[in-house]
Amino acid sequence: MIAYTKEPLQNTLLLQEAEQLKKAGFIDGHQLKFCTEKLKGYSYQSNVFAKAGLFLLGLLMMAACMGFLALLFMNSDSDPFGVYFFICFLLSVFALEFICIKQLRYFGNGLDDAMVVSVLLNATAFIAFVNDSSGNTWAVYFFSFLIAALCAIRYVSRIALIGAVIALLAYTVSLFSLAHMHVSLLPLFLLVLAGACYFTYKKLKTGKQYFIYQHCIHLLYFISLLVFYLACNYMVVREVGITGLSFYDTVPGEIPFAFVFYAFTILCPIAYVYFGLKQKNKTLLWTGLAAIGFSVYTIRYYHSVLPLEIALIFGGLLLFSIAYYGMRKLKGKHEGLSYEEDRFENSEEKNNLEAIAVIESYGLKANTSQNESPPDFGGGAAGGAGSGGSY
Amino acid sequence: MKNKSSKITAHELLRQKDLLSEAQFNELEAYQARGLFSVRYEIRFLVFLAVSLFTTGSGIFIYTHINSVGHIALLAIIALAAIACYYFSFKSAQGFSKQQQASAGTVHDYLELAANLLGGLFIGYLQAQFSLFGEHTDMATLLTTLLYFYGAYYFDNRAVLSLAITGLCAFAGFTASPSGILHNPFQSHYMLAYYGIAIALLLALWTIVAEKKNIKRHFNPTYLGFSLHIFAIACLSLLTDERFLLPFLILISGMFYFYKLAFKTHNLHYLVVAFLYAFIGLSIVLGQLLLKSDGVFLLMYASPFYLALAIYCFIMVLKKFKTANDSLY
Repeated sequence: MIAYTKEPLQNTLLLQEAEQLKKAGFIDGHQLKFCTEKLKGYSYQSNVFAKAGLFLLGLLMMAACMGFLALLFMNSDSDPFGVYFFICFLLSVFALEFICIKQLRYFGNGLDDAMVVSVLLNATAFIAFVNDSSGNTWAVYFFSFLIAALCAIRYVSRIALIGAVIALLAYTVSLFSLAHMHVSLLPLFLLVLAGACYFTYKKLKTGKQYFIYQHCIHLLYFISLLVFYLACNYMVVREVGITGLSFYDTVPGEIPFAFVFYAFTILCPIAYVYFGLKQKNKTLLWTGLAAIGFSVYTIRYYHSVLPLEIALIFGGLLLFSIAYYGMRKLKGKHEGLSYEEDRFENSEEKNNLEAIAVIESYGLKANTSQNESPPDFGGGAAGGAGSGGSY
Repeated sequence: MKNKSSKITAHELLRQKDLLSEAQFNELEAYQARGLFSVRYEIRFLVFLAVSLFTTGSGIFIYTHINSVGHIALLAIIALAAIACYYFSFKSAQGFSKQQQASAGTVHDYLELAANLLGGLFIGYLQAQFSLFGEHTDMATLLTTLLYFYGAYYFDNRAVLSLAITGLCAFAGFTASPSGILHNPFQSHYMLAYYGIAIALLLALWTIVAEKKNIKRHFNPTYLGFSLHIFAIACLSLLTDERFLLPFLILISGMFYFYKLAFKTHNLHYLVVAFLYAFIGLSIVLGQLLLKSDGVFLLMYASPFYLALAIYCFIMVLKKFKTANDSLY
């Protein structure tokens, strides 16, 4: 089923862990070199930038090849899109299977990710163009989901997994609109879907034979959290109901079961953060923090609770007090919840992110306009505090 | 490995293959058993968010109520806040040193940042409201930049250093931040692009001097990061012009310098970014040449091979870096 051989793939992942152990200081360079010699696996790219660079170049190359191929179809009268995309699909699969995997032995290299994207897009395009009537969009989504799921399993690819989930969501929603079910049930269905993903994750997490799929399994967990929250977020439900699916003929004053969605929008992120801290789960914690931000935005979008500046000032003071209290209480602890650094954590990346955030918000901006009307705080050459607002 | 259970499985497998000694395995088990959950970066993120929200809110509040507060009173408040922050920063500072100094803590880092920001705000407000420098608004930027440089070097604060560099670029006339670059400041002002190249060269030269004279070497990555991106983007903007040969040669020599630098400092980031920028530059120049010689068909037929060649070169370069890096151990 899987395109890679299990043993070398396992070795590749073990080598990644060994590199992390070296960074954390548990093993030294000699031991790492010994591991590299012993664990013969696939060649992968650990640096994010190199991976992204190879991914972009790979996509460009596939696009160029597809363009080159399109020249052959240029002179026909009817538009043979179906045949064209099928040939491109076969080409992508050939490139992925025989060149990337068998010949060059890549895994987690940007190139094979680019090939997987190419395979998925070509397959979806082929199915879409083969399908003539517009009433069968569910079939397009369903078969896309099947192919994406197959790719995710066969090529151990996270990108294919994301594609599969998107296709599954699209399939669910299209079935829903086809069956003319009451729109209020859609969030419930999506909740069940998220639950199913989470259940799958739970089953797969502990199985030792799924060790090679661990990145995909973790991604599945993150997706299930995301879908669960967004399924009942008030803004998503309202906007999708109104504009996306034309479920309502006119803009409703308040959607049915609004109270349930408001409660969910407020409670779900808090629950995520609480359980994230309790179960010491970073993914859950960060998803919860992002969800809190989005929930605040959602509620402010529809109801003005406080004037903007008062809300910002109080929000800032509240967050600062939480952070300060957390720092005071957690400093110096070496067990459980702590302010000290984890040896496995990659601090360089996070420092870089922090630096970029500081530059973006507080950096000095160049003088583009010569006439500035006083008082001109955030504009002009005086960057600094308060440059976030635009006056 | 994101998952804790998969990490444990990995350690067990490594132990089975006898790649981890018994002692190391026990050490790892003990470490995992502690159940350390570091929320350090989450808390730092909260502090940053809190400061941003608070300052934005205060800014809006002051702007809407400016008439009742009055400019002089506001200036006095900013000056007082700046002096307070500077007082606490100087108190906890260790004095200027050519070596890297350990941070006094997150709160002190943000205090130093706040002190410098308020100082810059004070200068900027003086200029905007009272035209301290008359017509020359960039003098205010220059003064702020010098203030930030002083703060960065005295307090050994890399965030303030980044702000100082953005100030230098703002003085030259372009905004050195992700959103500023996205608005493509070099497109219509070609002189500005040459200023950008000059600044990038200046920063790179300074890193060489700092390396030789051992003046805060740990600031060099920040300088080089700015230098690389500004240099490349300025050159790329010039390539879309009629006379693209000179900028192209400048770009290639600059990227070659960073390529060599990547091998010297064992930093893959410079290598990848330099290669990608050089590739984009080469693609633009080839496109220009094709347009001139009316060879659009060549573009269609040759592009797959061109891209395949580019990928091949990229992989070769990455392999070369890896072997050079491995020989370190």
